[in-house]
Amino acid sequence: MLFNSFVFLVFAAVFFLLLYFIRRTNKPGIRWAFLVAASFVFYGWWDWRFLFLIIASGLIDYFGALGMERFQKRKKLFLVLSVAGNVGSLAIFKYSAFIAENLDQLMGLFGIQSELAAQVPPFMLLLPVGISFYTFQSMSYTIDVYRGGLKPTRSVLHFFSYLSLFPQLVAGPIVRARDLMPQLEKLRPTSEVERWNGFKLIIIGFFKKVVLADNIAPMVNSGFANIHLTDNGPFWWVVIIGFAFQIYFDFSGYSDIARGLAKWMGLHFRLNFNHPYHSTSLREFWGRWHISLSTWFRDYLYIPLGGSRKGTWNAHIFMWITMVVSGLWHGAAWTFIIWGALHALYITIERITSWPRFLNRLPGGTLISILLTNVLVLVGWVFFRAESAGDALKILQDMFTPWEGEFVMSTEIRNGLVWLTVSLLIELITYFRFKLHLSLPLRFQRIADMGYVLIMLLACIYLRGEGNVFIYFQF
Amino acid sequence: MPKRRIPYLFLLAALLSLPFYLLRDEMDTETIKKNRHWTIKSRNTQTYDIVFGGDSRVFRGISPAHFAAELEGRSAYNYAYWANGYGKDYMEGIERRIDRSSPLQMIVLGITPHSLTRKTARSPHYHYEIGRAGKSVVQTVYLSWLEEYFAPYGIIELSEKLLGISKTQNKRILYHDNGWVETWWVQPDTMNAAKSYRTLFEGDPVSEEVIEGLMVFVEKWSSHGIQVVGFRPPASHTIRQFEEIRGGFSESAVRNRFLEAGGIWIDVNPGDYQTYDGSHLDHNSAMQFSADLARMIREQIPEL
Repeated sequence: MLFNSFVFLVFAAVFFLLLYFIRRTNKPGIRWAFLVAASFVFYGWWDWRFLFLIIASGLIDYFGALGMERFQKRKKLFLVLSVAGNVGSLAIFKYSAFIAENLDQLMGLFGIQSELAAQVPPFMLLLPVGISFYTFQSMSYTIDVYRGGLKPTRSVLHFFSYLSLFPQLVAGPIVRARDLMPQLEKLRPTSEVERWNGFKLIIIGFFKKVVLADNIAPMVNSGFANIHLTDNGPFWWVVIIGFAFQIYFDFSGYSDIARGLAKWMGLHFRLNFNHPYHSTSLREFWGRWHISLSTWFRDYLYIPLGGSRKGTWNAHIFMWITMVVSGLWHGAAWTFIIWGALHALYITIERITSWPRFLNRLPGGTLISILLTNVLVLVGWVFFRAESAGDALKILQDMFTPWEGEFVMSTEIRNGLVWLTVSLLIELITYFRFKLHLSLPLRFQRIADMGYVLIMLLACIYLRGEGNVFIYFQF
Repeated sequence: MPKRRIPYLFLLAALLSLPFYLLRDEMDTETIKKNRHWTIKSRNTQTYDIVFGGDSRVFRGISPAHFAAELEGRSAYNYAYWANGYGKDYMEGIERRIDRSSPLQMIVLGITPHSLTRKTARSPHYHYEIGRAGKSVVQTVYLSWLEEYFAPYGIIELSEKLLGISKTQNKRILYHDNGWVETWWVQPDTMNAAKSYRTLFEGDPVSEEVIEGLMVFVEKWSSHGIQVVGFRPPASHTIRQFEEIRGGFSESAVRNRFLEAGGIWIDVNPGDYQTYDGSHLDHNSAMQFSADLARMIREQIPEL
């Protein structure tokens, strides 16, 4: 079920109506059963058969965690089983075709003809929505139990109400068990202010997705659908900047909606995006972009590998591993791996040269740092969005050899440019913090607050773009 | 300042949505109306005394209401589809729409050369509409009024409307529940269809096999007591030339075979009617033609 669909509006209305009554019960089992049932309806709406995958993946971790508690001496075995189960399901459903294709090519280099890719069963080619998100959530549970940072729950319903909770199930944010499970033990009542703030987040999220991202999408899609249409540098800069905003608004919009829905349920999800394009360095960018994933990789991969404890060069190697795996997490394609590796290269150079610190000391240096960081990020987005590395290189060549070819001003580009300007203005306003209404008396502040939510709500209705699925569903 | 801000916000949004609705041109939501029309047509299980079959020249060119007005007490329905031809599935579909208990049962077929080609005999639009998923049918049929009310604007389009500089859309279309798609252009261009007709029959001329299949049904229906009427829908002289020279269509040959199979053929004078694009009848001509057709059929079947 998509947040931006009519059926979700009906689902949400029924869900919150029932939650109003169920929240009052003293029996947590009833609340958890309700949350699990609602979440399964939400997920099963897409394809009910893949519910079995979540259930299987979840049961492995649920029993694995209980096993760790019961058999302390063999807890490593249970951890290995849990991680193998989760990574295994990812390997089967997300990476099997990619692995098979690459093995075929590798064999071909040695003159061996193999047809592994053709033998991949069809069900393995169908990527279950949100698999990368819920397997990571599930893994964080067992790893935290293994480390002793979390006591495993005895209730399977409690565990599944955490794992499958619908707001963040298919596209994050990746919520840690130690953050969410205690909140689920007792759903606290919500105040009017919380409901208003939750509602505001939902509207902001929808505005980002259906107004900004979906109106920029046709421009980006038309550019990438025919990459040989033009060699014009400015054209490709516009398209790539468009994609940078599209993916940001699409994904952060989803996170905002999820956080808003959680607020209505009496839950708190941490911030997942914090204006990443305001960053003055790549390090800062990764502290602002998809924060729940970056911190997941930091806590469950980079630090366990050794982090910065084993010397400078090892820290670089661990960072490279983390970034490449992060790239692969986004999709089974070399373009994603290159994207991850490119960011690792950026961070290595940044760590060695400390260029952001140097630039920030200069007059106007902060703006130059922001500009340079964004140019580097944009180069990365080319690989992220392109169908192949060859396509990405062609676009990059065009971007850096300006004034060749013609700027193709199609309807999609014209509309996209309007929305791109709106997006840039919004980001500039937030950067310079033009919160004029804060200087108003409290009464007028609330009116101004309502006014801008009203404008966004009307824009969501009357200026929404063509309904697209959220980009991060494919990951 | 109200404490319950959310209900007040929705109330304000509802009030402010009215100007957006009033700003809208009928044609802005044409796609929604079109989807609804075709979905309803394909899900229609009612039966009628008279059913029209054919392609876009029939669904745009025949108004069942104007036709039935000439034949008091008869029910009529336009069951034509886009780029449609006379394949078996489609003709069985027409048959199902006939009221078998009616004292008068009539199938009226608009026979264009394009409806006798192999490609159109597969009736792609008919099959697409029949096969639509259940979920989208519910949304399209029962919630389309909501969709229309809340239909979005393009940013440039909305700006032009607010500034009063938006252009009137040339194509005007009204969808009727009886299957007629009333169409006209503010500024007709009778050479417009000729562009596509230059290549329309390339590699796909009028097919003997399709004609044969059609005659099998005409014969079967006639033998079952259904009056089967055929006619060639009016079009411009240029289009008719393309159809005959490039499509290999011979009206007299089809006419003779239709009569041999037990059908009734109506000779239409295309010069009496106006098209908006050279191929499809303009709405005024469609109303006139529908009434004329009924009168011409009555001349041949006096008991009507």
